[in-house]
Amino acid sequence: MIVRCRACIAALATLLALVVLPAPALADPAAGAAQEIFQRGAEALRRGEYGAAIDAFEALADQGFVHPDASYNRGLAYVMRVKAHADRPGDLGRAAAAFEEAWLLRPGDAEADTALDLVRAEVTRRRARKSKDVVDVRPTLDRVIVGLASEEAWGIAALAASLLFAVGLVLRRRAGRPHVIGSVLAPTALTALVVLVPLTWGARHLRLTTRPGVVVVNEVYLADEDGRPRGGDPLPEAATVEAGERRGSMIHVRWGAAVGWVPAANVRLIGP
Amino acid sequence: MSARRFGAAVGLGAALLAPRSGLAQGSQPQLSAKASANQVEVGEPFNIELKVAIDQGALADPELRVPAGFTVVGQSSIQFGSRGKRGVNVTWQLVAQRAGHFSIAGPSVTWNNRRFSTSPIPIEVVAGSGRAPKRPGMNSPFVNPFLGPGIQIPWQFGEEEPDDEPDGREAPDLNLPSGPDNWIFLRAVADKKSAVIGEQVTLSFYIYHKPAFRREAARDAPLVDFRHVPLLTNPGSEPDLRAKVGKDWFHVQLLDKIAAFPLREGALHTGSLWVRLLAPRLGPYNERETEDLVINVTEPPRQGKPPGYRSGDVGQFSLTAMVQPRQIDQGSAAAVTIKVSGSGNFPESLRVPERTGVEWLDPEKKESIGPQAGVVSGFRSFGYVVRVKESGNVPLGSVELPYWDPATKKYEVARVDLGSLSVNPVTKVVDPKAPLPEPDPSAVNPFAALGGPRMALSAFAAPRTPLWGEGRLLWLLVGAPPLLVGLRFAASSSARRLRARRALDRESPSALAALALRDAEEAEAKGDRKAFAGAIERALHLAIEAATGLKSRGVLLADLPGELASHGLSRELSEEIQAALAACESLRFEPVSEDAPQGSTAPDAGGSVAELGARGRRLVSELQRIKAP
Repeated sequence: MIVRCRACIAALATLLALVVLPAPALADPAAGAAQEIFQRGAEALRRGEYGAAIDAFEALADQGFVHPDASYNRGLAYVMRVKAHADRPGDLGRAAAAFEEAWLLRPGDAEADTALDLVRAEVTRRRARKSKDVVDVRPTLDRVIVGLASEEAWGIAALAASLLFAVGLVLRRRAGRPHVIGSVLAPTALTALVVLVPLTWGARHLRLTTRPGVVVVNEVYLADEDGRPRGGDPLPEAATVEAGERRGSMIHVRWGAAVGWVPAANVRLIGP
Repeated sequence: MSARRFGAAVGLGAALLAPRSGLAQGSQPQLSAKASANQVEVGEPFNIELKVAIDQGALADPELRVPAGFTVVGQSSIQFGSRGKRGVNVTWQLVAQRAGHFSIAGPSVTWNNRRFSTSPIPIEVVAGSGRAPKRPGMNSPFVNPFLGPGIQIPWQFGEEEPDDEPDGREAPDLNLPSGPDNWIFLRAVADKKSAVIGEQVTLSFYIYHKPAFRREAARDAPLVDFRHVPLLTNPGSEPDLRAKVGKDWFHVQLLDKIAAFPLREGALHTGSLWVRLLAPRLGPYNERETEDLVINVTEPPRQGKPPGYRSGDVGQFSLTAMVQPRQIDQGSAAAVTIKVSGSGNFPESLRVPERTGVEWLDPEKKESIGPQAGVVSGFRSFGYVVRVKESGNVPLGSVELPYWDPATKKYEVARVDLGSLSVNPVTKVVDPKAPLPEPDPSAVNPFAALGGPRMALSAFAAPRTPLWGEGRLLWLLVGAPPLLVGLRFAASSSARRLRARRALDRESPSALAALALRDAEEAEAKGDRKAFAGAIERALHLAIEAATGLKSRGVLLADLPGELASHGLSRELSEEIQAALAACESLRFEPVSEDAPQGSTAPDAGGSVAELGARGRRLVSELQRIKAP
């Protein structure tokens, strides 16, 4: 009996590991080649050969290889080109995109966070040198609220509220103390459900329809659907935007509360 | 041949006459012009020849302006030179389209920024006589083999319709099962229907014709999404071939051949080559165009794509490099020339091994790229100036050119090692008395706090989809508990209601009437006539109650028809019920001998027991059909 129980637990644990725990990034067959390119890029970076390093890490990104260390090194290669005064337009934006990606993939990555701050500070300094305004934008309230937790967290909370609501309904039918508990629990859980379901839907909708992106040109102005300028402040280099639908060579972006279309080549999309 | 290419050819010829000695001033050029005939027929070609002789200076831009009704169908130029005298003969071939007396303005040419022209040339054009048009005389540069490489124009109306006799010009690969026109049509052929970005697609434009023709105007295929290189040096001068279209023989001429390199992904349209023709029997229907070909263009496969590969680098290439000098002083520069040779879509730039301390300036490009055996090939060289800020033995690294080879259908990398430079250190002599220089703000490193590169991939869990996947499972899970509880409540409530209704139904007059009828059947079977009559009577009263709500037991039998009629029953039915109840009563209360047989007639019953039973059942059934108020 004990042996059978242990076997069951082992099988459950394996199943749980397969379902819940993510597969390691290097488990797929193409990972060997990706690792080789990563090593080549890292060596080039160590030797100061930023050109070769950019080629290697951009090739990794092009192949769909996602890893915060590869993103971080890619940002570092662009920064190295900037430091060598051989930078091309948009290099700081590309570096910011790479560091932002590294930070998104591994939110606790303090090094990537610091690097991102340094790059953005340099962009601000350069803009200030050209007497250009520094515009600080904040996300809209809906984005802030939805962004307080992940889609999974909102979903689990909505599931819990749903269960509690059901339990409350059942208890409410009973007599005595359970009835009192049910009478409190059911409306409370229903209220939570009414709040949590839209939040879950919003987080899911944003995940499925938008991607973060970073501006990789000196600045870009928002246009309407017909390509006419919308006016307002330009999006500065290294600004993080929420990229949505793409039509031809244009992409819909949201920058704070401002929305509009910009050339897709001016925005580097982040993440897998 | 397009007018643009004519201009280029003539311009080249004129440019060759440019003097070696700059802006020379001398005697004016000697010009003369003449026509090959003073009288021509409509449609008959003739030539106007301009001769220009100069001692020195440059001739340029020969021009002939023709009046309306004339068309220039060809132009050629021949240069000549002898001791002290040089010049050019320019010949235009014209065709008149209407009869009349005309004066053609004398042709002109520019010399030392001034334009010189001859006197006008009178021409009389008469209506066509129907005879075969004359070919130009032997002095025509279009056919004279001694006058050098004049631009060849296909002679109009001179070819006969093709016959069935084989003459060695057959091109079976150009045969078609059918054609869009029985007389003359254009056809575009691509050597491939799908390609990757940057892969050469060879487009051939043919004209299939039975009669001879002349091109009045033409427009090249737009090829908007392609970079294109002409593969024919003299388009329109290709020899006629013969091909079968259905059962008919056609002359086939290659009008143009172009190497097109797709610039982007997608189903790319080449556009149509359009020509306006002059040919017998065409009339106003004289414009033709090729079909608009569609080439499906994709990116080369992502798998195996080498680092540094740039979209469009497709072909077969090799790299060579030259570095001069190998020994330099610190802060000075060396010249690095990298040559890309091969065939295909040559790269516009190279990825040089940029690194800290070595500055690569923008390259100077030189190239010799052109068609060779139908393939665009040659070389493009990139000359860089490389400034070195370090000293010692500085490795320059290697240059790599990753490209897609369409022949082997795989990526290749052309590579050349640049070796290293020996850089002599240069020490600056600092005057101790000189004031210290101001710190350069640009020299401050804003990225000093940045960490070093990460040399190995650390453990990382790739982002995954939520636990409930991308489908609608989440909403199902969220909605399920309240829905299940709700369903449970609804089910129990329904069951309760159903039970109550059943209980009610069991005690309803209608149900009791049915029970009474069953009792009557049992009593009839037992021969108990009193019980039978009682049961029928009970069934009728219950059926009346169910149908009208009237409790009829409390009503006198004589008053019953009136009461039933007041409750909506018909008079006949009411009276029938009254009669049945009366029969039941008499059967119940009248004495019957014990040995009376079953079914015997009761004295006042008005019928047998069985008949009463049937009548009772029928009346109950009729009453049950009446809906209670």
